[in-house]
Amino acid sequence: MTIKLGKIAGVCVGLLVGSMLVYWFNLDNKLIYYVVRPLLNRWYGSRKRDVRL
Amino acid sequence: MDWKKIYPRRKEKNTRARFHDRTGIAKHREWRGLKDTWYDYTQWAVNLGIMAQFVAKSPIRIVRGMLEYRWMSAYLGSLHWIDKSMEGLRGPALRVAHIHMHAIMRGSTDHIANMMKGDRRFGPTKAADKQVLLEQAMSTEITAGFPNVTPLSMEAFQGLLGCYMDQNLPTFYLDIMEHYGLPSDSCRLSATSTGVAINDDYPQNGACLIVNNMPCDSSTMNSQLIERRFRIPSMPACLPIRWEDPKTDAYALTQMKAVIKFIEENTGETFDPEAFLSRMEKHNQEVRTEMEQWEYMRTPYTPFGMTLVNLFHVFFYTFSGGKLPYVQTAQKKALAIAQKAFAEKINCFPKTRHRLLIYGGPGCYNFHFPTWLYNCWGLLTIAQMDNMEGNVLIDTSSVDAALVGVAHNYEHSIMRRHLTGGYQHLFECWQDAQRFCCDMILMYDDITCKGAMGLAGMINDQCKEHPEIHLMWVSNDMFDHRTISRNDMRHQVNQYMTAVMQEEPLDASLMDYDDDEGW
Amino acid sequence: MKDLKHLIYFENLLQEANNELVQQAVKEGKWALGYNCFYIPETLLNLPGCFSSRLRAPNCVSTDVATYYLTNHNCPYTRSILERAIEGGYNYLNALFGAEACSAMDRMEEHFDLLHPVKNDKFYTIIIDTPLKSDENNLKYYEAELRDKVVQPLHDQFGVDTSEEAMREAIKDHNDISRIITKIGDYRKAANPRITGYEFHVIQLVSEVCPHYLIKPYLEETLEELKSRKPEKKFPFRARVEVYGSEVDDPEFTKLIESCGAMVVADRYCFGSKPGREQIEIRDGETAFEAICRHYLETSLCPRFMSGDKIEQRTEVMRELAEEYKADGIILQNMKFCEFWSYEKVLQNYILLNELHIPCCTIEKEYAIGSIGQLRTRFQAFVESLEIKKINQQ
Repeated sequence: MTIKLGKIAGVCVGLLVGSMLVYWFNLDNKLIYYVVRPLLNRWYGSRKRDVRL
Repeated sequence: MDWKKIYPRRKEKNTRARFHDRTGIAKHREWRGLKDTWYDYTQWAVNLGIMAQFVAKSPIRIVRGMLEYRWMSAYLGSLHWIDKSMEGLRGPALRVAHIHMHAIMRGSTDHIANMMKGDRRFGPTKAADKQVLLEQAMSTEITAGFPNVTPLSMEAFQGLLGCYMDQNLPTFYLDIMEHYGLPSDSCRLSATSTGVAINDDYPQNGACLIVNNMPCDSSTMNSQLIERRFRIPSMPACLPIRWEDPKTDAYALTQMKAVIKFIEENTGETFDPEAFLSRMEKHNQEVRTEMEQWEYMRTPYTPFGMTLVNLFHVFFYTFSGGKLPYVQTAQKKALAIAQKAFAEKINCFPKTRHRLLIYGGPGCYNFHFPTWLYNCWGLLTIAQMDNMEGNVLIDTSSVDAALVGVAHNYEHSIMRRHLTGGYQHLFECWQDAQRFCCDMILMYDDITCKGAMGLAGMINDQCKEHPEIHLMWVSNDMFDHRTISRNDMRHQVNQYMTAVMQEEPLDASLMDYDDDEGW
Repeated sequence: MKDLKHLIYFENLLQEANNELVQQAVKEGKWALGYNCFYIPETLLNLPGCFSSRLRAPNCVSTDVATYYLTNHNCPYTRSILERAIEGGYNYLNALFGAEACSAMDRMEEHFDLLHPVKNDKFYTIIIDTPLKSDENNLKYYEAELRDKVVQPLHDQFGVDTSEEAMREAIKDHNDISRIITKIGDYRKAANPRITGYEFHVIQLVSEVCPHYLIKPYLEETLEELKSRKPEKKFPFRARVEVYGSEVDDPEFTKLIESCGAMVVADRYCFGSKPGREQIEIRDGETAFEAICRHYLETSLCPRFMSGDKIEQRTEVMRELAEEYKADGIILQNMKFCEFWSYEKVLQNYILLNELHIPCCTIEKEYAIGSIGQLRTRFQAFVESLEIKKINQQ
């Protein structure tokens, strides 16, 4: 039980530290700006759309 | 012009060093002191939670929407957008801004989720049959008598909010419109919305669509083109433009009733007068709370300022109208903080040198301009023109009286109240500056807005009657940063502050930088 | 062709708003009532004792003062009108009846109130709210606005007779002028017309800017003259075009098009004859005032009308005119900075090319014909393309 609780606490601390690192170093926005959005823009450019008035 | 050479400082504040050049992406988040940074982190986590809840509402449809609609990808930059809006905030101001932002995040994500759930493009969906699309500046009050109907704003997310998120989004749609022959001097907001339609980027929502003549000319026209791409019944709700004349009320009432009838016919729902009047009471409560907030905004201890004071108002005007309970919760929480700050005489914006009122059509691609104004020059934006829009207390003594009130609320809608229906509305900037104890007015000169531009000379003439208030014009091209970039807008302020006000910047690193590739 | 007897006289009348006939009418004690927009029924401004003066600003090339007030990103027509007012060109007016039909026009009309450029003690400005649909509710609204803001003030301020009889007389006057103009305009339908588009444009304009009772004899004479006028031996133009779009009050524009080889056979623009010169009918059970309001609401082709029937009506009228006047193509034009007509031009251009398959050319213009070279090039190219299409069809 103690080990389980310890593991849970460890995971929580890990998540907390990880999220704080993501927050502080702005990794969320960097990922989206440098990786996700360029990929998405390429995807949008490749799709055929029904362009008309 | 090398501002750093003109204003060398021994211990130079260099806020800009935190950002990557040209992209505006921060290398790390802002250090606000231990307490406020921890608070900001927890609110960031809350925002992440809101986004996770959003995806959980309908994961498959939302992912499909992300892959289908270019405009949706702009919302991936929400957290960046929030950071930009909060730059420089501390203490009560930071808390109030986050409270407002959570409500905005919640409302916006709910809205987009509803759009995706009702999008027939992704397969048959019963949700669409009870959705009513409201075009542009039309807020949700007219659907209040239909508790089972979901109002959805058409254009706001594809156009206006999308531009807030990513300055490069609207330019894609503007180019489409210009390819079809629309000149570049036409209102950018309406042109973007039409470009979205031409590119087939509107979700296929709704049982019916209500277009309108709000806020002004270009919206009247773009509706006619946009309707062509919707396969659902549509009707124009045409409200009086010269609304100050009480004789227009009778006509406005007929328009409101026509809209109600149209909704009944197309959704199969019946108008419920009790539900309608009950919602209008809640709408009134939102307005009264806003008025109470204004009392704090007038003081030196206001925690309301910069970018979000305006955005929250626009948000609850357009999407709530008494509908969203968390709006009132947010208002009350924010007011409680304001009351505490006032009681304890906390100066929530210590860098303030001037109190600023902003009027005119804004450069939406530079949505966080008030944040920059504060951090670079100590110009605290107390209120914007949009704050003075809506704010109609609706007479709930009868359904007809309430419907006239709803019509008035539309006539006073975002941009409409000041830019149409009589010159006296734009001239109210002087009274509003006095009301909020502002010593400066920043007048946006949207180069495509004929309604506002048509009074530029008179406003300049009126400066002589108000020597106690400084007037600064800042040109912008509303949605198109390629014509007048964010940096061009900054330069205009820099020139005014150095040449006219003879002041030095608080942070010279913010005066001149290129963020054209940024969101 | 033999020159029309009164053409030079008409051209001279168009050189300023306060022309010889306007001065004569003012001297005779008539009330001069100015307006800009079709939303203000010309008929109501021609009640007994009044005459309508649709405002133009001929030869206005510099709008420095008006540009200070309205900025240089605003409609050049409205700036020119305001500039001319500030110069004193409209001091003969007793009232300006405006319509908040568009922001630019509204702001210009508001400046008449703010700056008081018309130096006339009795002068006032009124701006009506204008409907955007043509159903029963909107008709009632339009009637209420016109009654409260046009008819009632005319009665109260100037003692104008606004009775049923007076209205019927105004309708008769309108119908007489319209009959003459329509008959003159119908000559353009012929394979080899005996009137040019320029001449018709001049004639149509004088009917709008001069007091009807003074210009009518000249118009009747011109109609008589045309009955026996012989056209050129061979049709002198290379193509026939319809001009569709926003405000055109400068006949030099039509002259420019015709100098490039295209005869303007049909006009669907503000200040043109369509709409504007149709007969007003008083239906059973209708008063004259109601008939006037209904007529102007039904015939208006302003692009700001949002209802589906009106949108379709505009396309249909454009197509019908092209058919009726045997136009080879359509020139879609709009005034620079005009929101309404810019969008309308986009829409109709699309419809013409993709649905109706009628050749068209889109242009944007200033109020005063500025960059003639560029326009000339566009029109010449369009005429050539129409010729090539005709050859291919043969």
